[in-house]
Amino acid sequence: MKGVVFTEFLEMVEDRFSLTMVDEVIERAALSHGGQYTAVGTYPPEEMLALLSALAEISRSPAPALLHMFGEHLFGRFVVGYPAFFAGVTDPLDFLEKVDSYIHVEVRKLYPDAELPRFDAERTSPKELKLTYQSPRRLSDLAFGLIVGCGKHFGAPLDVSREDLSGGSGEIVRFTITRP
Amino acid sequence: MTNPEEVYKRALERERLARKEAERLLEQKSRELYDFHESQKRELERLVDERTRELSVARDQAIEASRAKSQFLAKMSHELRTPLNAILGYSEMLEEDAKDAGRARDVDDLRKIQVAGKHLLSLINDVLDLSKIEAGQMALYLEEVDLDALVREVVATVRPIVEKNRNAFDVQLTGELGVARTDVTKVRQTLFNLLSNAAKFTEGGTVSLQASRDRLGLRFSVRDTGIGMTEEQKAQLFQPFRQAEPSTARRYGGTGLGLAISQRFAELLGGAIEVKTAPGAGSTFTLHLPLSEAASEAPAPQRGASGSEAPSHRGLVLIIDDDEAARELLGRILADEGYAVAFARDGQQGIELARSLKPRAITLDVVMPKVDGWSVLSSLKAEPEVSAIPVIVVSVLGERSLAMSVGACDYVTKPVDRADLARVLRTHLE
Repeated sequence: MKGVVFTEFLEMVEDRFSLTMVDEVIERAALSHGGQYTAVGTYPPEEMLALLSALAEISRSPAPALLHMFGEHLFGRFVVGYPAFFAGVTDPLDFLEKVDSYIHVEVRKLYPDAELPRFDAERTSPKELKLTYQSPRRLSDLAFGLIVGCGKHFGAPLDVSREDLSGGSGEIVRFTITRP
Repeated sequence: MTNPEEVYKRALERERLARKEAERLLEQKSRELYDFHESQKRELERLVDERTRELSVARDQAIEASRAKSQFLAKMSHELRTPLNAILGYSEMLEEDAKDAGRARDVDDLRKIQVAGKHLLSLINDVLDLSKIEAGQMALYLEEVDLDALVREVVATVRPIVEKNRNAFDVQLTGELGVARTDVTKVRQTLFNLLSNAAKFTEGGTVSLQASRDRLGLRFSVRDTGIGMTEEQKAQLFQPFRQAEPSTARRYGGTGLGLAISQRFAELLGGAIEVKTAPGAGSTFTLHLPLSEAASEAPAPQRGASGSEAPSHRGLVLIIDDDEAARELLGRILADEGYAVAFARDGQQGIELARSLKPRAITLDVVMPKVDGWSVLSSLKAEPEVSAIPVIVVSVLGERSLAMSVGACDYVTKPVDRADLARVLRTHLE
């Protein structure tokens, strides 16, 4: 998993909670190292799950809600860090539609070893997009948060419903996204 | 609870380690980029080298193909001129016979054969000239040339062509042109081309020739009141095989080589041809030729006019030529001029007959199997007994300067012009 996800996660913990919370989360996650993450590095995805459950335990919040919150936060960071992907785009559905066909293609050019989730997009109408998330990491809550963050960024609150297509495992989840 | 100071310390330590990790990754990434860049550079250089080699091979092949083309054209022109030699010579001879016998219709028909033959010959000559120029084999033969006589000659030759299209011919000579050291054949051909072009593209108008000489050199301006040209047409003017429009060839004839050759001749002589034209406003072609330091301003010596003396026995001429038709033709011309004639059908026989007969003069073909004309000439010049006999090289090859340099006394081009050969013989034998 790309280091930027870890650094952004810990920054969110620091922002929403405190630096002490960061310290405790790292401590409780019992990592093999001291929790020094850099955005340009690559780390085992299990560490993210460990950090997440540590935060859930300490803050007594459900992990899915935390992941959702992280998704919204992360989207805002993407806007700041990668403005090129947003140039000329005004519609959140237009943006989400090309995550797989454009943004992930560009990401792979820079990081050939990146293991990215799959997003199959189907534009059913100008106002509706069916986006199917697929990943063994089962982080559809993070995707949900990212989608909501996207709507907020474009100033268009999105109506999002989701449906698990993998029998409750969370590996394949279809989001039906409509905008006003 | 946790000591805040400890928390900050650990946070700081994490930041420090993360920074070092980032620096290490950055270094690694830079190294990878550098290596990749280097390998790309090497690959690019290899590709450039490969392409350069391919291009160089292609260029060599193109040069070789171009050379082969020029050689082929030269050879074909030679092969075409040899039979034309017989066609022109014999039709001329038959015409004279028909004239003597009062057969006017035959005279007319035979003249048509000659006109067509001469046209074909001029086309072949153009192709040969151009192929020689492009192969870099066009030699200059510089001699003292009486320019006034040259202009008079060209004007006389071209006048019927100009007047055929009901054009007025206006010739203005500013002062005497005098004598200049130049290549008379090339100047003559260039002037002829410019004037006959002007005549061809003008009907019921005026073609004028102005010639002058000053410190800078010679200027020959050929002006016409013909159809003129657009800028685009003008731009293609000196390209071989191009005429202003494809339809031009159908309407006006010609190979489209005349101007290309004229321009290259002018360049060979250190000059140029300049064009001023506009559609419907006629064209002016100006030939500039620089004068060499050696050029003398003295008035031209009078040339001997071709006389019409009665034939008399003037001595023996040995004709060395492998082509039977050529031998017979030369023989008849020389006999008509009052010479006794002997024939040799190859170089070896020629040398033997020269020794035994000691003729007054020898005409020598160049392209012959086994012993060629050049070998015959050097053998003859090496033997004191025969070395003084004047040898006139008669050939389709335009190698006048080579002939003169290896000991020929004169050079006549095939197909042989009767009057030309007679004049040359008189010059050297009388």
